[in-house]
Amino acid sequence: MLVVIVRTIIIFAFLLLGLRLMGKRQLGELQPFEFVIALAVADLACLPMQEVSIPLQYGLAPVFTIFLLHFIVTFVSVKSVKFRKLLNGKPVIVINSGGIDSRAMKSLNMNVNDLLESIRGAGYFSVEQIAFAIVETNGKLSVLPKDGAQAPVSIPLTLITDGKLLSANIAISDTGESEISEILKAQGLNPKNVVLMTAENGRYFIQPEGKPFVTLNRL
Amino acid sequence: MKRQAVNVLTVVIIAVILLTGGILEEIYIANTLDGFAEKFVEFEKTETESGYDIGKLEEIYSWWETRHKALEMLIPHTQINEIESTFGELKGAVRANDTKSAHAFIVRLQLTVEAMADMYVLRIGNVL
Repeated sequence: MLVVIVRTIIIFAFLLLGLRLMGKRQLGELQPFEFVIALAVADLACLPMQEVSIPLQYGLAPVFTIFLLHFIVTFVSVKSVKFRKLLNGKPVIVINSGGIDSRAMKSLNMNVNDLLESIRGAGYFSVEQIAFAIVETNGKLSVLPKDGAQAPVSIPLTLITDGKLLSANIAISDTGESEISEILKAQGLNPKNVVLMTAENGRYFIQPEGKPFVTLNRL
Repeated sequence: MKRQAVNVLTVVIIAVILLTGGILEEIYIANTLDGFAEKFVEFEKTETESGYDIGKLEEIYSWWETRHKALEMLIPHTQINEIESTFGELKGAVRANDTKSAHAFIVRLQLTVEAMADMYVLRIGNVL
């Protein structure tokens, strides 16, 4: 039983570390350590249930060890802000007044498509509508809408994400690759340095890497 | 505040049960398996020209049967069954006065028990 207890503690710690390194895309509504518990307990409980040759304590000891770890982790994280940050990370601002913060996105292992999906989930279809967006420690996106920002009349078509031209979308848009290159050239940009470019009803949204976004109307 | 005190108490009780249970279990497994191996050292001394003492072997088996039931709650049954089947073969060999085979089964039992005892000790090799 002692071996099982020590192994459970080690696996718990490594699962937690793995999830923290993965970023916040996998979580949903749970904090990383709660997700670890959900992952581990389900399997632990099943093993002795199905296999009668395994003593029940092989399931009970790890489950109770995890319960203890959960209590200790919760208790310490309530007492210490530093520990809480280490355990769950901290909320990260991914959209600010300059648009998408690519450095913050990289720190979360998040790509532009993940972000666009999350903001759509929050009810917004354009980055321009958002003053601030924060990825919470449980992976959820919280959005502060921009005052007076108009919602797009149609769904913006993504032409470039993370420096890559999306040929399929370009083919169905009324903007060709050469036109995109010209627009970007006029702004002193290279497609490789563009985090996001969308077209919607004759209006372009361009988010260069490390610079504030630009909006242009088609001439 | 009262609720938190109850939670802390629950956690402390569970921690104590787990650790005490773990330590007692380790002691019980080690004592049982070491005792089992020792009984075979004694048993080997009963060898005469006409073979081993079947009465002594039955005594060891009765002792093992009582411990067997408790061990089932602590370690996977497959490992206990391995001892059980080797014991059965040993009984057969002793009854048939096949001393050579009996000796081989005794060595096998001793090594199996030794390996099993080592498997449940808290040490880095078992943890990793």
